[in-house]
Amino acid sequence: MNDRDWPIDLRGVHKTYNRKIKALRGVDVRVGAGEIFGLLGPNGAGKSTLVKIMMTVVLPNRADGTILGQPIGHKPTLRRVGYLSEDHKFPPYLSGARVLDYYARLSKVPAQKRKREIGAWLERMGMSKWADTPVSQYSKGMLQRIGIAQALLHEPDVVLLDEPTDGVDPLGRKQIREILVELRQAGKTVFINSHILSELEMVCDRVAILVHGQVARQGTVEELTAHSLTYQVKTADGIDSLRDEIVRLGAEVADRTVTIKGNDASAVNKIIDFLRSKKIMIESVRPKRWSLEDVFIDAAAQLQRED
Amino acid sequence: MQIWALILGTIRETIEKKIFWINLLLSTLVILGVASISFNDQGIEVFFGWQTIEQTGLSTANPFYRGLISMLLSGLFVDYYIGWVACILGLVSTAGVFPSLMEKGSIDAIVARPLSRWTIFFAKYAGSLFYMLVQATFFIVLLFLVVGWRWHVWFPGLLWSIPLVVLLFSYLYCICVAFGLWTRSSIASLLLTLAMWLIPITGIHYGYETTHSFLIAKDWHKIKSATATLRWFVPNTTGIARMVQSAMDDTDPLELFKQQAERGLPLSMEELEYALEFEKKMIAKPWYYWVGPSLAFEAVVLLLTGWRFSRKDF
Repeated sequence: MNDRDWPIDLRGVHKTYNRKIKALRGVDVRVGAGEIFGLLGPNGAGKSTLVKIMMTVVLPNRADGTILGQPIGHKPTLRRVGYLSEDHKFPPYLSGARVLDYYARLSKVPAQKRKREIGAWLERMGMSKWADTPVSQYSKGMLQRIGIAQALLHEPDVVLLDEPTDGVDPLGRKQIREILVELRQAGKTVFINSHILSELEMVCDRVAILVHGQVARQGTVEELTAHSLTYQVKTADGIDSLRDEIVRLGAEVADRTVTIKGNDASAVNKIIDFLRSKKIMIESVRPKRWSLEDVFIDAAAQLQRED
Repeated sequence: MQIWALILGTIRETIEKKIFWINLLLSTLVILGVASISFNDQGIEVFFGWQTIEQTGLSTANPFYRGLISMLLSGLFVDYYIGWVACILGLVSTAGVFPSLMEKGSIDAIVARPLSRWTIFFAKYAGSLFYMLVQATFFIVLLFLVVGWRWHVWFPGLLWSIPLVVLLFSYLYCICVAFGLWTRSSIASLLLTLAMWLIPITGIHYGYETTHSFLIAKDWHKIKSATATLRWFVPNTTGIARMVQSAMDDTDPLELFKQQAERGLPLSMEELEYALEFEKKMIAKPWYYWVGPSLAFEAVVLLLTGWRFSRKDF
């Protein structure tokens, strides 16, 4: 990919609030066209700040890079960007249809297209029945559906979603995932902030882990979890008396389970031979790959230690 | 399209509040009160002609009847009702526009659009002023029609008070917006605006007018010059009534004042001459004397507040 193929290309994004709280400390992130990118991080990691900087809601102290080839903060570009904020609040007296109309007008969607798209998106999100009901009477899930519709109604090339499945039931989540996949197929760039790691694991092509305002890890889910392959050997008998010898062989012991890090089969065989030599009955041997959650916890812990 | 959407959104927001309808209802009641009164060559007819109170001073036979009615309209209805009651109700209705705009989750969806923060700021501001435009138009057009029909005098110039009252409201609303942006609370911004209006602004202007008009403070030269200086730095709310009156009627206000003074005000000739001299000076002032400093004040407050809004993290 050359530079023009990165609709989101952030470099050295810094943000300090009130000259004290360092929210972002030099974040570099690139997201390609037709890619779903997930940003993970604990509360207060700076995820929302990063998205808000891209959407000009928060002003950075320093930020190089571009969105759709234009410098960050270039307002006309936002016409091609869709955004769903976390804890979004719509005017309570407006109906769902009017909310969509209001935000579509603000995104300069022509009248005819507005009329057509509003009906289509209400239908798609299963909200047609509630189109004329004031949003003050909507549940959290319904608000989220309207929120997603307003972010996508103007057919943006880049979509930034902050906790898109928050408060949505499993069926709604599946529907949102399907929409995200469709966007990817249409060549759009999707950037998701979420703390629901399993959600991200299911749809994201690449993820970044943000901790204390820094990108701790970045890559595809496979890349991030590949180095974390472990083997677990479960025994039928107690092995507490053998703990020191097993640890000397480079493995860890917890209860009746021996964990061998890495994907070196000879190391596993060494442990099995040792256990068999001590007449220990082996129940099972299975490889285990870290989940995104394990990677996330590990990265957070590592960065905390370094700090 | 975007600006109009923002303005319309703000209007809708204010109309949704009950106070908007309470304000309209109150205006209707006042207009009904005006309609229940009429004047004839003997005096005042009350309750739609139920009884006549003989009062030659306020009868159609009085050669200065038109002038007196214009004073009554500009002083009582425009200055006090629209300029005070409706403005306070307007502030109550619109004080929440900026604090609610800046609520977490609400501001994001608007700022993240292809329009500048300055545009958002001024469109919301204009939308709030539209509230006052609706209220003032409703009241003043009805007042104009009812006064023409029941009091037999037509003042097309009264309609000038619509933009003038909106102007007056805008002086106060800019302060409310500044406080709203600072405190993010509609109640705090409303109370602070009222405090700023009622205490220094009104105090200074009324102090200034009083010291000049009634001569009771003829010796208070220091206070007089202090208030005269200060009034240049704060919105001139009382000047609006004067402008309305001069737009309404071409009766020589000096003659009117003289006649009224001769009728009843306990003034010596020396005091009367002084007051007349003052009135002459006031009448000779150009329009920008009344609105210039206030507009400059408003512009400065809006520019500072708009700049703050444009640089704020939400």
